[in-house]
Amino acid sequence: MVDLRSPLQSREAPRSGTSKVDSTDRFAPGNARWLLSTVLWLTLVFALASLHPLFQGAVWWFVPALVSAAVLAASAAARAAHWPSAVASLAGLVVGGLATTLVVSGGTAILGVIPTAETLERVRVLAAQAQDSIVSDQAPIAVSDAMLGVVVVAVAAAAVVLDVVARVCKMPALTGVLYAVVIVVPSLIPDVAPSWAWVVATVVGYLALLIVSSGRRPSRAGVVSGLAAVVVAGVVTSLLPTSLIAPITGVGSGTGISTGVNPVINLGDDLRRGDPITVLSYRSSAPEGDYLKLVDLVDFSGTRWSPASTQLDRRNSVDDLPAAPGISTSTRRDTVTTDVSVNLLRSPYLPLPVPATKITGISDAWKYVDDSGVTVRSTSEGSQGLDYRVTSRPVDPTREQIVSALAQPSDDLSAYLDVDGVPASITRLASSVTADSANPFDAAVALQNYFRNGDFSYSEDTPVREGYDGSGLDMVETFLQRKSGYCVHFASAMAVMARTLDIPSRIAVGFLPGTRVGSGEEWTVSSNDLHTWPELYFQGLGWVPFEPTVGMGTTSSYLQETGAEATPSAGATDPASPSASATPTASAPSAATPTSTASDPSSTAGASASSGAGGIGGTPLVVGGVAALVVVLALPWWLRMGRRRRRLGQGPPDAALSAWREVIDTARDLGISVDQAATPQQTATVLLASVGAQSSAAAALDTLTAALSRERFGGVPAGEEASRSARAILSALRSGSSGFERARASLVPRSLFVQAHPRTAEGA
Amino acid sequence: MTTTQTTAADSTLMELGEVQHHARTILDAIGTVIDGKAGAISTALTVLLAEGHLLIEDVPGVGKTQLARALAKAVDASVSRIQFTPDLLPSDITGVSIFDRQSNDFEFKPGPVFANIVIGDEINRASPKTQSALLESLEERQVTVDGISHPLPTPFLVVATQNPVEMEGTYSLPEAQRDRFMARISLGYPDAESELRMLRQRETGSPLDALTPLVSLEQLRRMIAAVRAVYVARVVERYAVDIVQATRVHPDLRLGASPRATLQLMRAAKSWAALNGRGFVIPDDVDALSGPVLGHRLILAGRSGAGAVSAAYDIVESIVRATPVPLDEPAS
Repeated sequence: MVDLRSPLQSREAPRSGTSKVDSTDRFAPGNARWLLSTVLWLTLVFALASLHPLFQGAVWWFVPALVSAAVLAASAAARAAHWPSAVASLAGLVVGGLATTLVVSGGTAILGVIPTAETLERVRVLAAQAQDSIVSDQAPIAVSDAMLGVVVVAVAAAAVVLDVVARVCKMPALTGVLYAVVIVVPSLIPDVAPSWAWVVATVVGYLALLIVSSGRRPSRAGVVSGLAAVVVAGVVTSLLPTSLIAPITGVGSGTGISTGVNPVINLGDDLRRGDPITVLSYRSSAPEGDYLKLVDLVDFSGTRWSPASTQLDRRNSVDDLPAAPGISTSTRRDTVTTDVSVNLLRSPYLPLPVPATKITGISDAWKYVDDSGVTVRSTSEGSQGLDYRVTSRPVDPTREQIVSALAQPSDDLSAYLDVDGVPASITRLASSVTADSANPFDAAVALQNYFRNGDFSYSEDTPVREGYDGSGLDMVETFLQRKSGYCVHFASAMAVMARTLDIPSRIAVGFLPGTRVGSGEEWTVSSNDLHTWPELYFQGLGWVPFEPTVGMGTTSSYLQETGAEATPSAGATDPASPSASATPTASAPSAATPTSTASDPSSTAGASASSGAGGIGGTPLVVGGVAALVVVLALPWWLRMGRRRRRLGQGPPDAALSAWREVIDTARDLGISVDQAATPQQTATVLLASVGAQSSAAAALDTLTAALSRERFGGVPAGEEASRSARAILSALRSGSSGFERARASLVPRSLFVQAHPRTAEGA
Repeated sequence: MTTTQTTAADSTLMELGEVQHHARTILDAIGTVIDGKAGAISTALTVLLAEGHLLIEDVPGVGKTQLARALAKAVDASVSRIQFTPDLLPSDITGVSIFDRQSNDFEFKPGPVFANIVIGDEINRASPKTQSALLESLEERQVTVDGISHPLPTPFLVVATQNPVEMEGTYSLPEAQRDRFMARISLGYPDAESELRMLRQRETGSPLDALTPLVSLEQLRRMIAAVRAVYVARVVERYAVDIVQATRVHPDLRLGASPRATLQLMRAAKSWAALNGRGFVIPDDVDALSGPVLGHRLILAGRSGAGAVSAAYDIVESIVRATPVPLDEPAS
């Protein structure tokens, strides 16, 4: 062969494919680089704006938008100054850190931007506060400093990640994952409508990003799969009930946002699912088992009940529990010892028999919430797997004690009486039901009896079917007319009616006593034992639990008679009614009507009775959700395989071209830099380094290159040898790559998102 | 020219393998004279087979003339050599009509340009008037004296050498005339090994003298005909056009390449393909010849002189690198 080296000296070294591989930089010099950062930022703030149903005001959006702009501008400026890409991202990170400090430090930082130890401590405190807010508040959340700080930190981090993914890793398409995570958040939260306009804006931004980053139109497959991923994610998440999402997003442990939304609202959804699982078991000295309370719902906004928004005080050690309020020393009380063993319940609140006086066996992370009633929670731990012992002292007053207690002056409990805008019909009904009652306590018992002994029926479906599911005033009104519902409706209605009678009330969320194991003191509590019940406050007796839900348990004897008759049949002296709220022959009903009271744990502010494997009663849905996730994740792979099959099966006249494109795309997928402007021979030289010069794949590479040249430039159609050679090259390329590269090539095939052949039509 | 066509039509085309074989023989032979310059020699032969003309630009003494003479000697062709000087007249090149008393008529005495291979040494030392006399014949392939056209022999190759324009006593070649050359090459200094070998060879005599014709004129014509028949696919044509068009919009260039450049690039690429025994042109052929074929036609914005030569090559190279190779006709 003649030595036909190029006469141009500078061309004698074979031009390396790596010298001009980066299409991003080659097609996007100068201004276009700024453009890419700008589009990254715009898409981020669009995605962020899609969270607006969750927050009040606009500060939560505006400040993080500024901080993320600072991050991306810093790294873009550094790149414009020809800093190495990774160092530029680092610059973005530093600027992001300074800007974030400026926002969150609250004067603890040097010069306002350089964090000190004090700043870190403050961030920790803010994070805890924000977490409280997330767990207990309902959307839209009022944005506190703490919440703003958390959002700023998250968005700044997201900006850095975007910068690294798009600029350092040069995989702008992959940023779609982060954007998708942001925009599906509202879908995960019950009772919050996703902001579709912003979702669409985000998707458009993402497409613009693909175009800007590649300098050309993204491939059809890239667009299709990107859109499909967003749509599927949106549809899937909006179809799935909250309880399924909860374990996935980790809200069960109190870190997720979805627990921040009122628990009671979507209770019905969870009640209507089957498959109870055991969430905890306990051994109790109480003969009829214990009601275990997780959290109280105190605030009644008129549309829903929600927990009091309190922040955990670190001094509230459970070693020094406050006395239950309002119980006078003369009131007769029992002492019950309960050993709780939590199984699958993941909750930031501890299930406790009330009123607890002593808890042993849990860590310092658990604090009591406030003095109003002992509920215990943790910001850092979930309840899963805990074993602890609780001593509780439920009241068991005699009739005389009740009557005398009612005469005592009352503490100020106006927070529990707040109920604005109650429809007159409810007030009238409450008055008429209690017309014969001699005192507030009797009135409360009358109310309870009204529900339990009247025309009410238990139904999980009727409220939904007839459109009054929930606990707001409208719902209560409708419920009182239709007389059909489940525990949420009964508890809510009774609590509201009690407030109209000036009896302080709240709603407890927790568990029925559950099912007795054999005939001993062992009980198991399943997810279907989740329950809500009203607690009413009486001076001298403290918070007294009632059980208005028809068919649920049986009430304590002292709650069965009103003072009008004043015949304390057993009540006054009956020691066999120990457990606070009820002497529940609860085992039977709770087992018989398993789904009746299953207020959903994960949507409950405190109670997240989700199993690791799946939400309560949601196994099929979990399987479906996982399957959907797998489908979404596998979609790029599937599209890519389809394309490979089509290409390798291509016959003349484009057999070699299709096979060649498949080889190029696979190489790109595997992270091998392939110059899109190089001639086939030059590209083959680059690939040769990857497959090894001596391998059989090298021969296949020669064969394919020759076939391609003949087909494309010589007018001689290629035969089967093209796809055969291509297969040999593909397997050599794959086996020459690391496991990580192979995985990335399968899950996020680059070639699917950025078109490699800008000027040519795709062969079939 | 007409002769070539007739020959090609009369006889069957030379096999490409034979073309390659002859080419290799010639290149090997020239390689014994000019050591270590295979690339430049290949380009020179490419231009010969592509029916173009060659411009060799370099400092004195690196073997420009040696290369031209070796090429001429390796094929059995008539050779003439013109040393360009400032006082050279056009008629010294083209020839003159002399009145013949016996025939009572003007008789045309052909000048040195009437040869298969014309070596124009230091062409930029002659006045522009004389330069143009030679260069007109490049394109026309005929000489017109006193209204009578005299066709030049085929094949006809002009190998002009010139010194870089900074050299004393030079008239730089106008771009219109540079454009007539298919390619420009520069030899550069040999490396130390080649220079040592050269010294040893010259002790016993000039290797140029030992060179004998390897290919007959007829064989050379058939080789040229074979080159003409090389197939060019549409996508390769498009690739060449893309490259040439890119020179016209390049920010560093005041003047891009002409349509004539496109034609010559394609012809040179065909020749290069044939030298490699290939019956069709691939983009790499175009790549390989873009520098020599386009480089001397470009006028750089704000630069001139010797540095401009390599700068032009660099720009062409960057354009070639950035131009995507089409593998398929764009979808309509």
